Amino acid sequence: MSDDLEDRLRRALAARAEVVSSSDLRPAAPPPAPHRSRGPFLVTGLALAAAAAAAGVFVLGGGWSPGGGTTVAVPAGWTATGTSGTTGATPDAADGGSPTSPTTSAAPSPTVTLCSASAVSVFVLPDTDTRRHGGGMNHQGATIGLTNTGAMPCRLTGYPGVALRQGTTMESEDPNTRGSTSYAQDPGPSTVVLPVGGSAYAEVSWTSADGVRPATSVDTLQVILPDQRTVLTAPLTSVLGGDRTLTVTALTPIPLPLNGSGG
Amino acid sequence: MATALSLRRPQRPDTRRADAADVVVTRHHDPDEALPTLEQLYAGQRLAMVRLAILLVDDLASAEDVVQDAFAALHAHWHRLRDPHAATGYLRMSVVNGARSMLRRRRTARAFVPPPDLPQPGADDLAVLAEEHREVIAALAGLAPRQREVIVLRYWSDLSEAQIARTLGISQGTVKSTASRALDALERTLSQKGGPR
Repeated sequence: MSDDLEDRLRRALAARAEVVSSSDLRPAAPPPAPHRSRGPFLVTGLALAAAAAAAGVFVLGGGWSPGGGTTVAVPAGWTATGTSGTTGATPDAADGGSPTSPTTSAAPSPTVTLCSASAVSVFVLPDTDTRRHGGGMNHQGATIGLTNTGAMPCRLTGYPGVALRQGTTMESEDPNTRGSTSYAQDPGPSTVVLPVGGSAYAEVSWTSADGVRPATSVDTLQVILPDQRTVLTAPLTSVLGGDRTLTVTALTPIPLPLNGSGG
Repeated sequence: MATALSLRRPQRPDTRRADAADVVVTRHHDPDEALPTLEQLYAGQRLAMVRLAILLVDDLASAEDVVQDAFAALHAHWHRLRDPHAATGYLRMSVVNGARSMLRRRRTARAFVPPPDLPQPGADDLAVLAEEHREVIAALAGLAPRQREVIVLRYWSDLSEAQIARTLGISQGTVKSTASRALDALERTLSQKGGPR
């Protein structure tokens, strides 16, 4: 019995650890070191990169500037601290559906480019016992994840454009309502830097009650990145009713906490 | 000293990308054998250390931060390291300590967020794992930090009880009891989850 468990542990740990391969790691190359007070360049670089990684990360509501101008100090991760509505980019800087200006002046760093739809994949974060949508009142919702599948960190600002389809038939109505959903508070738009393999999240909710028309079933979630027009999809089975519109929050570096989902 | 010199003036390290197995910490010290330089250690051990860290902190970005810090600390102490062959052990110790601080910071940060249960970061990474592995990893995240460390060092790093004791700075007896309690807890969690099926 315990042997069984030990064996299972070994296999699970190996599987988890081996999800990470060398190609997932940040570039090892150190920044060009202007001052060489101690040690070799590599090590100075290490220290700098470590400091940068420890200090600078993520939700940059508008003004993260990489000071020294090094290139490796791209914020490549995030911590769970700064999600509380740091804003900076103006709301209209991030327009889900209509392609206006491709970049915003609140760009965090010239070295982090806008995520391209071809290097982003969409998934729906599965509900768990402790974090779930549903729970009565005909509210429905989902947490969308956008994963950076490219080779470089990239950034996204603002709100994604979302829609629900049955097959190829569009069932939801434009435009999205931007703001707090039935489950989560909208922290407002900010810039999220996605490390390679990292994800940004948004909450979407809708109602399944009959509205002007009878409710309908849907099987596909459609997402358009802020400021872009390429359609990305992920499977999502639900019922859409009410006025057929969707409410969506801004993108955040971690899934938003859900309220009142105990049900 | 050869090591100090090679540290001070790094010849461009040969571009052979050392794998984790490449820089092995040998137990017997051949005087003619070149000691590993920090660069070689970095090239050879970084991935292994990131993998160790990710088992402790769940997400890749934090794991990489922890490992960078560990190498930076190793650099700072390099001249005081009695035996560069012991560097791997030192690195492992810093990674475990760094991971623990990271978790502590994360808990503190969580305390400021109104609804207490933020999901584990890195949840999307887990999506690629088989269901049975995912359950184990989720159960592991529910352990106390020390229990988790002991389990990871034992079943992933394959360390002996004595080595785990040294790495964590606790007694072998504590390692043993911590491991046994952790296994009990895991068994309970897993049987609740996947039980009646």
